[in-house]
Amino acid sequence: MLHIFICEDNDVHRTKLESVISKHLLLNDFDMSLALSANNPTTLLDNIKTHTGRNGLYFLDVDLQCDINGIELAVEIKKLDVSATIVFVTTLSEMSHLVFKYKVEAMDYIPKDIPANEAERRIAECMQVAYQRFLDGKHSSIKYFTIKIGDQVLNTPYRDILYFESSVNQRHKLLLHTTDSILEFRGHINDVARLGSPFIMCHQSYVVNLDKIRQVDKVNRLIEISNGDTITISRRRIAEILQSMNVVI
Amino acid sequence: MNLRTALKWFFLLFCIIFTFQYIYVSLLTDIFVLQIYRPSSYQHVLEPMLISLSGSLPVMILVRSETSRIPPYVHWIAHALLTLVLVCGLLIYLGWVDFSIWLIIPAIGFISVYIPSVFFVKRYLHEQKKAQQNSADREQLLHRIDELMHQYTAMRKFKHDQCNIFSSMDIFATDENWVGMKHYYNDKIKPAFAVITEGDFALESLTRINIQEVKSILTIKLSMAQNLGINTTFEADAAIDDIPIDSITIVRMLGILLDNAIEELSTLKMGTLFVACFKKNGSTNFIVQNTCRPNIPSLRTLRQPGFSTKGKGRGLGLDTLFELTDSLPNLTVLTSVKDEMFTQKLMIASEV
Repeated sequence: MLHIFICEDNDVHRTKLESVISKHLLLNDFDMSLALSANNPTTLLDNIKTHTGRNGLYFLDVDLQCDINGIELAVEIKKLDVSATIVFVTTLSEMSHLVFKYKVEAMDYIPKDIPANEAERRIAECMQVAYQRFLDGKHSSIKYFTIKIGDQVLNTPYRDILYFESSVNQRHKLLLHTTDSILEFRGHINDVARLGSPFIMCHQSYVVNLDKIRQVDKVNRLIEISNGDTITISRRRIAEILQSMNVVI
Repeated sequence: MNLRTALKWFFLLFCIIFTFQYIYVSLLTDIFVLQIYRPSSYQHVLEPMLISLSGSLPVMILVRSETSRIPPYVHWIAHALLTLVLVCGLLIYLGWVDFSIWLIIPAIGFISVYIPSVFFVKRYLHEQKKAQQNSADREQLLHRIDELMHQYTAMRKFKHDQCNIFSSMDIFATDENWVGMKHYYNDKIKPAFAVITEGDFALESLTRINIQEVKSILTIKLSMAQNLGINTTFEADAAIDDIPIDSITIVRMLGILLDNAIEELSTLKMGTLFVACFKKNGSTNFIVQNTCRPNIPSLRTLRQPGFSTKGKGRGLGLDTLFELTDSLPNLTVLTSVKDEMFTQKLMIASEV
């Protein structure tokens, strides 16, 4: 079950949030419930501490009129509930959307000053997405490629990775290509070559995700990746690649 | 250690040993110790060639390992000397000249000229780099002066306006025209005040950055963006007192990222520049995000050396950026494009 938590110091806003959430719980057949609606962060944190091991969706006010603000509260929650999904509810457009998104990895932030129906739509959407993620997390064991930046951890699901590249100009760094991003991190191509299925080394500077190959050009020894990039295959690995692809297909 | 490095070192060692062995054992022993000259030692063109090869290869490798860009004159020196040695070898081989001095002079000359030239080249490269850095610093300084002048003008204008406002209020007060004053306040002063505070408010969090160099580059670039009419915001949720990276490097990197973002936004004539700096689990994160054109080239293309959306000769920025990032083991860079938003994220770990 996915538990929903609210932390909002303003009674009016809290009641409104509760009613919107309850309404959507009734409308949809979700395995979800409203676990707690608190008006201060301490109550919320105590509750999480006493009931560990739950997956939560948290709606947090940013300005809590308390010794800690919503962002700090979110960081605390993340320590207790690693898979926590966080949605911020904010007065005025407190310009922190990058901090919300990247530091706390908040799913969304809903400004209080937008029209009620718009806010309701976004709350419903958050519940939908969080629930889908919850189901995904329960039913499949998604594999992640993990990069550590000090104590900060960056996870990229295998299914998002197109290929790894070691650059000629940057001898100490590896590039991880996904459909919409390139991640440059410290590493060596041999380390990622050892990841195993679905990754395979096709050239001394490329390790490709077999599921992301669109086509193989045997004549020019090129692989076309699903995003249109082309990478080279070395002569001695071409047979191996084709064979592995047949196994996959 | 991988195969390439191992091979390189093996080759370097081989070359050095070969050179020494040849020079000392074969040449010098014959001539200076035994006081004899054996023409047979020099009858092969191969040998002088090997001298120059074994001399030049380690040098090339040394220089290559320092930088991939070898200035053209290194080749010139190498080729001139190589030719000289070959010609002498050939003359001896043909028997036209049989003085060993003809071979020793270029061989010694080669070594005594070429080896110091490596150090010279290294120093030259180092100085070039320093000069480049200096000119970058100078440019930044000029920018800053420009910005100061701009602020000074804005301040003067504000003072002037303020004088006007107060004097006109004075007129209303003397006439005791309170209704007129109310209208004047609502229609003129209030909106003007809003304009004044709007811009500053967006960059208010800059005060949380306590590293002077970083604060100044952010202030310069972000206020430059604001002056160009770009909607700009800066976020920092807590004070930033230290960044575990050389401050000049981070300043250069931020400069490149912000310049690129501003350039794109000023060509688009719309969109927003979002910049953020925060600590997460002890590592420092910088985010530069800007609206970009819908048909942006693929990220891989953008990373190509020398590529620019502005045509040839531009786009040295990103190239330089990746050169900088390569030498920083504790830095991770995430570049992404999604929903017409271009995002560059620098993540700096506190320890390597």
